[in-house]
Amino acid sequence: MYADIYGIGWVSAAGLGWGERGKIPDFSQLELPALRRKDIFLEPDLRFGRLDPFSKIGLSAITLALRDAEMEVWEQKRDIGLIAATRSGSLSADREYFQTVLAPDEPASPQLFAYTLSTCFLGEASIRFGLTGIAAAIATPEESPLQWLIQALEMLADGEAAAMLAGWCDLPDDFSPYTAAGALFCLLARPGAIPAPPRARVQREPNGTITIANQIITTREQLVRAYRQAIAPARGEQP
Amino acid sequence: MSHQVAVVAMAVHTAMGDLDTTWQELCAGKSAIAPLQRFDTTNYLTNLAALLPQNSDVSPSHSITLLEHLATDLGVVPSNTMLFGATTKWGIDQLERAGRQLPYDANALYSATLIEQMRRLWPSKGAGEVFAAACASSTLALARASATIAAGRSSSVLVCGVDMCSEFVFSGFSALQGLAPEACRPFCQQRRGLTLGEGAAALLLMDAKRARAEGRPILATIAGWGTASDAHHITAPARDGCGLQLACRKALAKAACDVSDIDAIHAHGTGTVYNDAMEITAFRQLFPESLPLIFGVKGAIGHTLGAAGAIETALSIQCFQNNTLPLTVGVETPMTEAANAITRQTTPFTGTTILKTNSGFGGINAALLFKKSEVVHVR
Repeated sequence: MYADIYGIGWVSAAGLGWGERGKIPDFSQLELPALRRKDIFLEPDLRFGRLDPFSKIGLSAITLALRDAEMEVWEQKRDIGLIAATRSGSLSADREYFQTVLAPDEPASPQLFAYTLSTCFLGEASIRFGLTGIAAAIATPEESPLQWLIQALEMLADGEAAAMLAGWCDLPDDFSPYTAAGALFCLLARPGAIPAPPRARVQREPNGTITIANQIITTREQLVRAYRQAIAPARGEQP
Repeated sequence: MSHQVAVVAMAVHTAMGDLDTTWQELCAGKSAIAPLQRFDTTNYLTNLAALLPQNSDVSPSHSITLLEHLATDLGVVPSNTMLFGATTKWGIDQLERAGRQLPYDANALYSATLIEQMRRLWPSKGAGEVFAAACASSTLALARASATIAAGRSSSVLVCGVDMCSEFVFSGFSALQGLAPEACRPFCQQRRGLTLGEGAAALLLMDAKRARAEGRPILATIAGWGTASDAHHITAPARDGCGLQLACRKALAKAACDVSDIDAIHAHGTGTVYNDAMEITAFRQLFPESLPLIFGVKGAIGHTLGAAGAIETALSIQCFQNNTLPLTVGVETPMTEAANAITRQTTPFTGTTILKTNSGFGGINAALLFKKSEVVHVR
């Protein structure tokens, strides 16, 4: 089972990055940068400023992945699906919203409630970028850093969509010890499915191992490194 | 080669009771919507919902209790069964307790623990995953389970959808002006919003070949599935129903069916002005000649959020089992655009194909196409 990677984008404690730009992410550090609109979008964007922190980092990573693939700009809606793995989901937005429910003499906030689903940022992305495929968040009990990639490969193999923006998004929360924070998204598609140049190929071997250019990857950071190494020769650069 | 997907067992628990009781009450035109006592509704648009009795103890979370209702009814699953869960706000009562400075179960806050609970109730070595897609969560989980079996990646998948009615969700829909002041009226000209419900459903899907080899009853087959996004608005559906149309067309194509093959539609039918209008618009585009019979159950059991797709799938299969379509509880004056299609009384049904649709926040849409089993199974 395999697909081509057309772009990668991420937000981590090490900053923003996409393709060969930015530092290799470090998702083990939990202090994420406070994102501003102009960090991601050149044009004024009132909606971005109103998003909750979870939605901001997820939408940012999706935007950067599309930018890396040179598919950020669009005219016709596109058959691209969205899949995001998350552990805590909208928990931070949930806590903030519920405080407005408990506040005496104040109505509950509809603006905050609108972001109390782990899929809200996927809806934002589908609206901004005209994406009409599947949109779902997934969670697994095992700490499986690349489950979203496996799910996306399966969805592409099943013909769920022509392409998938697949990734992971998580914020630390105060309820339990946490080991990772940030967001990483890849634009994946079956060869020839979208009109953009593929950058690297990701493969799932019969034994379940995931590889990019024959490098075994087991973590999100390794995925970014392997992707950069795969695209560096094409640009005559050192990774 | 694609493997045929069979539904071989199912269990449901709603505010009306188990699957058989829910079906009987539904066909009798009853509703479980009633004034709720669970929390103070003074500041909200309504005091109505369709709820099960709730244990006031911390543990287990009410979400877990809903699952436990299903375990006895469904029975054992094969040890290599994959587990797919579906929910929007699993364990939300525990977040409420934390917010109120009460003792709470922190583990229950994370949706992945739905799989841990499924594994406890249905021991299995198969992999597990929870899907969230707003009010289309369990419809999407059933679609992915079907795709997994069709592709041969597994021969047995248990899909479990569960959601509870919490003040968290109730207050939110009230703040969005989405709740009806009286019981909801799906597809009615006088509809004014939705009524929340809660419940859970578990469906065991299996490769039909394996089911036959093991002598398991095939209650129905899932012949087609499709998911699509409107790419329109974060809370309101696209008025032209573009995403729902696309999801339905994908399901039809997967099933190699034409629209003329559809004998009935079990719609999402929340009772909101925009959702119901969107659905009928989409269906009229899909069925330009004439609409098949359309029904919805949320007027009887409320909107069960992430559990809706699974509960409503089980009830769709009951239509095949009982050769009956239930009436759409809550309709008094059906929408003009679908006046002859909306079921207003329990109706004899000899059809063999039902289309099930659900839609959710973010513009998510999912569709499933069920076919009647060739063999009659007496429950």
